[in-house]
Amino acid sequence: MDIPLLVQMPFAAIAAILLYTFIGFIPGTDETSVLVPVTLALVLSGVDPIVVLTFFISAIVTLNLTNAIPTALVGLPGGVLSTPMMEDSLYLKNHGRAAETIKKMAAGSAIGTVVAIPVSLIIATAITPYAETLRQYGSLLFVIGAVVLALLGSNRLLSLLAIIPMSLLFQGLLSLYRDQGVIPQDGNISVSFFLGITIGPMLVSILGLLNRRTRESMPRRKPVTLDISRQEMSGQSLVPNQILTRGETVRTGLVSLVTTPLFFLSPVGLTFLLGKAAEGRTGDRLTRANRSVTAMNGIAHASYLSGTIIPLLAVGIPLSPVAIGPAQALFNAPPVLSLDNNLHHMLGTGQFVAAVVIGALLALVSTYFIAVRYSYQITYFVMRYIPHEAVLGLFVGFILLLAYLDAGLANIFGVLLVGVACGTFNKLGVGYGVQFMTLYASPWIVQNLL
Amino acid sequence: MSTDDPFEARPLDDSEQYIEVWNDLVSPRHLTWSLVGCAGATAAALFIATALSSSLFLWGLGGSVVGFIICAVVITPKRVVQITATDDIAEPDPSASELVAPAVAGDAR
Repeated sequence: MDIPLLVQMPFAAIAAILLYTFIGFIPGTDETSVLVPVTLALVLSGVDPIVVLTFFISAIVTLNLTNAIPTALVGLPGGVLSTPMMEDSLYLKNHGRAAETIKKMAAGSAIGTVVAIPVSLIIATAITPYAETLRQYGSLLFVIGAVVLALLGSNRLLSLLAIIPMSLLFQGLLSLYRDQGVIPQDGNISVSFFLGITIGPMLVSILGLLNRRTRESMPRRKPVTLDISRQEMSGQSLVPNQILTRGETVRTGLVSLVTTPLFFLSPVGLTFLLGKAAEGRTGDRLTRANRSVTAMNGIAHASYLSGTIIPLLAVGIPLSPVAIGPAQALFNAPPVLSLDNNLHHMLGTGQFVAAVVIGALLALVSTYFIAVRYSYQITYFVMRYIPHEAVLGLFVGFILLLAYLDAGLANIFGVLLVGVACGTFNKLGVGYGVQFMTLYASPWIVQNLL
Repeated sequence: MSTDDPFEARPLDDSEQYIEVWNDLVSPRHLTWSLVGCAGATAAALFIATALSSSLFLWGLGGSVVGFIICAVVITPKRVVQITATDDIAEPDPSASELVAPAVAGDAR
């Protein structure tokens, strides 16, 4: 490792912290759609793999925490992973505990990160000998994951029913593209499908506005009034102890530990499930809400880190929802990276560990400081000056761009189709987790069940 | 771009109606302009990139960001941010801040 790289790595980490602190505060921004384009741009512009990895790890640690802050402060989820925290965060906020909640979230994130990194590295080392077998059964793992998530969710029958039709849609569209020469016979377009699922609910809402009757019958509201108390953020101490109770620390540590080996499951699903488990049955509503938000932040970090580190270090193919989603550009970014020549092959274990540790530590320390000291100012700026219309516009711009780059003009309509179908399933009650798992499971389902 | 007068003192114009799209309020008219603007900027950037045979990705990314910045400057957010001024900066007292607890739970979602 030469000197310039040692300078580039912290620099990349700091760039990620600055960029994703800002992005994280914007309500509703989806993790995948904000992480993939930037990571892809870095990879394609020829940045050294170790610097890309540092950037990415720093970005996910930053983003996961900053996404949670608007949830605690004004009750708008900053991203998909903070949706599970909504209920308890709102409860705490309405009891005037927003500032305390943010500190607990930051501390929970720290626990999740500190637990997940060594455990992920150990698991990755442990499964490296089985990498070849895992490569063979990877898609079967996704099928099991889809079924398990469907059974664990609140709409079991509906979710189970949705799995096969969605597989047909994904694989059907893919073979249509291949037959028509839109993409090469061995080409793939997973970014588009991923976007379709992610923006589905938004797309269905926007398209619904084109129907005059729907538009006119929609409830009209006055602007939401967001109260931020200046006191909530000023004069906060930075001392990390006394933020968490013993119970919160132990529970968060425990669920983060449980999350790490479950890297092949959906982070949102895990956050919901294990977060609720960590809440416990004892204590009053306030105690349980505190345990839940702390644990959920730990789980969010642990699932993102393990979902990136384990498949990347051990196997080199995207075997987790995080790897095939937000971290996709680390595995496959033609022409620079491919499944046979990506960060797994380019980086030695030592370099890998260095990138992960530098990225995570820098991000953790800075976001902790930012969360405790500047949450108020940033939330105020974003809420006051960033219109939701512009955010939706930016998303639509991104979608058009990525759909076009993936497979040309025809694919814009393909993404529209996937978006409408998945968005409708989503509104019916089939969660993101099941849908993403189905996307990865669909090749196996179509080959073996039909 | 933004007004400084306290919104709660001035009842909102009844002709200004906001609907909820993806967890936040928007004006349908502004949303249309924003979508057209951002999509247009992205398409224009892609067109330029094709003409210059330069990187489609970077140009497109730049185009959508330019569209976003223009929209952010032109459109006012449909949120009213109130600063609840509290004079003490002592240790946050849960029972005291309970009084400040705003009743936005119903609206925020």
